[in-house]
Amino acid sequence: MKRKGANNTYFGNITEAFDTLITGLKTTWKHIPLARKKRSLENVDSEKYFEKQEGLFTVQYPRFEMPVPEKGRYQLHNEIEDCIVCDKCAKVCPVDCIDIEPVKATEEIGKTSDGTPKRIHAAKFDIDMAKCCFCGLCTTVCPTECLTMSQDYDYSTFDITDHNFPFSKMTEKEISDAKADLEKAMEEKAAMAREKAESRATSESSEKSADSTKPKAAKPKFIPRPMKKKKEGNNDDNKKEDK
Amino acid sequence: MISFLFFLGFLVFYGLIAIYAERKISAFIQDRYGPMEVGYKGLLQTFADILKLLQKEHIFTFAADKPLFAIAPTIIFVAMFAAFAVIPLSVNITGSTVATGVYYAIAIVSLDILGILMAGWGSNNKYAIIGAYRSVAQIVSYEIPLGLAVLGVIMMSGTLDLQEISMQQSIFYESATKNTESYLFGLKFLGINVGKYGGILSWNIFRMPPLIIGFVIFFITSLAESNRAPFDLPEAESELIAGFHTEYSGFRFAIIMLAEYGVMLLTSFLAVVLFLGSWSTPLPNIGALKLAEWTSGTPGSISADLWGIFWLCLKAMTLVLCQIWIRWTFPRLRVDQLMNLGWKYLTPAALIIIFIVGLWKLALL
Amino acid sequence: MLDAGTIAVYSFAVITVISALFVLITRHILHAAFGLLVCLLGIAGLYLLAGAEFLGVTQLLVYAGGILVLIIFGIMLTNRADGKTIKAGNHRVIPGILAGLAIFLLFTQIYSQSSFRDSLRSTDNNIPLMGHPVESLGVEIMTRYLLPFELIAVILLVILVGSLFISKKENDTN
Repeated sequence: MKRKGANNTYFGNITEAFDTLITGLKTTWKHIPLARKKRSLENVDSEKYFEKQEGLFTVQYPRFEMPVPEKGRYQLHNEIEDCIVCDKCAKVCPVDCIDIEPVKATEEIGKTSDGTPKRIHAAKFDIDMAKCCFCGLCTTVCPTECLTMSQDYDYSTFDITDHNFPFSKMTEKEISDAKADLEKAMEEKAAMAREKAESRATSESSEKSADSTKPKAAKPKFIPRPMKKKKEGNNDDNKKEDK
Repeated sequence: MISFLFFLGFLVFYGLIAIYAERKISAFIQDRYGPMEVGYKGLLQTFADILKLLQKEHIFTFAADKPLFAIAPTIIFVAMFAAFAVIPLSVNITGSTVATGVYYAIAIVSLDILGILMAGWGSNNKYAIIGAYRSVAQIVSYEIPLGLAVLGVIMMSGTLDLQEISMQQSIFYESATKNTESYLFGLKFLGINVGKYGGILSWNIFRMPPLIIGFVIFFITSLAESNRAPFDLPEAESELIAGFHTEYSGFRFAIIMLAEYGVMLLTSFLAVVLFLGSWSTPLPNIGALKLAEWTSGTPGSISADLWGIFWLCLKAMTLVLCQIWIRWTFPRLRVDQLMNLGWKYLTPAALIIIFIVGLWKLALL
Repeated sequence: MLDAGTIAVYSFAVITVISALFVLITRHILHAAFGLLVCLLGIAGLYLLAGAEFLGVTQLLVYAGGILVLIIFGIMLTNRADGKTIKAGNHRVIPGILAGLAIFLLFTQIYSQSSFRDSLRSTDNNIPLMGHPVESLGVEIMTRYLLPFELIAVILLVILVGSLFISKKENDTN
């Protein structure tokens, strides 16, 4: 560009107007023949990704897809066969999008592909992708690496409840069977404990017989997850404000 | 009658093509695809849109001035279409043979403003009224340089009849009038008679070189007259939604759109007739290669009609393409810039062109 | 009997008269302006049918395309300035009718006494007009009527400068 506005003289304005108008027209004209070039489907991993300045930029999505990087965080997927239902993912999730209902098995129900024994049935393993914030923390904490983020990113639905993906493969009957087994086992255990207690009571003193159920009650029942976080957080905030 | 039927059919066909072209070219300039879904490469997209518009309900706003609102699109379209009556199609098909063709075309198009005012007022919508104000202020201002640019051509050709102006630019002129006074650049002393060469050399802009600037002025003002970017203040989407036709829907909207594209075509036709040789061929006779004669047909026969219509429409379409190209290149002018350009630059330049044309004709011919 | 030309003349005349009456009767001032448009178009049509092509087109360009636009523009800009629409009323009906009758009588008097009445009657459609009407008009303006033409031009220039001056002064006070 020469002198801008050519010192704002009358004829300077005219010549500059023509200059700039023609430059503009040339610029847009160049794009018209380039429209024959389609966008090459290279993803961001490609060396040439940022060099593609020419040709059509649009990707006609349902027909052509840009390949996504392997490390990309898209849809969560749980390989339920490998899951030991440790509940770590649900605990670490910042938005509480993983919902797990564990049912303890009476014995080892199998092994994961890396040899970890499975001892808990996953009666329910739901991931609500509508809530998911794609942070990937759950995949990091997963001890068996069964929870991964897949390449699938197009799972739009008409109903938001369809974004809740259930991964558990157990049928209703299997769940009730497992629960029944567990109850039975618990009862057996409780019975055994009672017997023990009774035998202990008869041998030692009869005063403590009222507390015979105590061991059963104190037995650590499986609590799915702590839910008090929020309240504590609020309290903390209040404290901070007080200061 | 042939001319009427041709223009009615051609206008609709052109509307379909021009809207498609506009979308595609704008898309290509912006590195997009444009319509791709309906038909091969989206060819039927405009057709689908028109079908949709025809089915739509006519919405009248509650506070609209109903008679004005209902009539306005008709006025806009009729004023635009009436001007096509005087455009000659070929050496035989002259349209309406009025002696004041150019004058009539400019006058009847100015009625367009009244339709726009009616539409803007009838809508009872602030955007529509502002759009109508701007449109009228713009069209009234730009009619002056437009008329002056046309005046240069009229001074050179000495007639208001568009067919006569067309004849002067064709290779038939010499044989029809026994007039051999047709020199290169209108300069007699060069002694180069271009009458027998024809083609591009006999176009008005070459017979009278100052008219090249006249043509540029005409083209710029024609953009303003058809409310197109960079002079699209009346319908500036980002400020006024759609200007005077904000409230229109359905068939009335389709008519207004067709009229908008029709004005583009009309001004292109006028520019071609006045400056770019009308229906005559751009190819000159070079020695043994009688290109001009081969591509002109013989007067009175159907071949001349076909060639005439072909060249006229080809040139007009090229200008329409330029209009589209310009629209998708330049940003919109501000109101004060618009008035500056019209009054401080185009009008004086057009006056100077008239003066130069007069001198050129007097001194050099 | 009636031929196409006569029917056209009468229909244009009817359109002109009806729209003129509409302008008088309607209370909506903008509708009146658009009624005036139809009236002017009807008159332009009558000019065209009378063979005054140039005059008809000038009527279109100057009155319909120019002056009427200014009138409507003025109405639109002033209308609703105080929040309500301006309604046209029928004031001074009797003086108006008297003035109209007087002008009508004046015109009929001129028409009956002038010489062109006979020339119109003797005009045969088969006789072509002398020369090109536009050409002869131009030549006449530039030769015989040069002085009035130039006077009009000077008056217009004065008006232009005057209006510029007035609008400038207003801007300064604002």
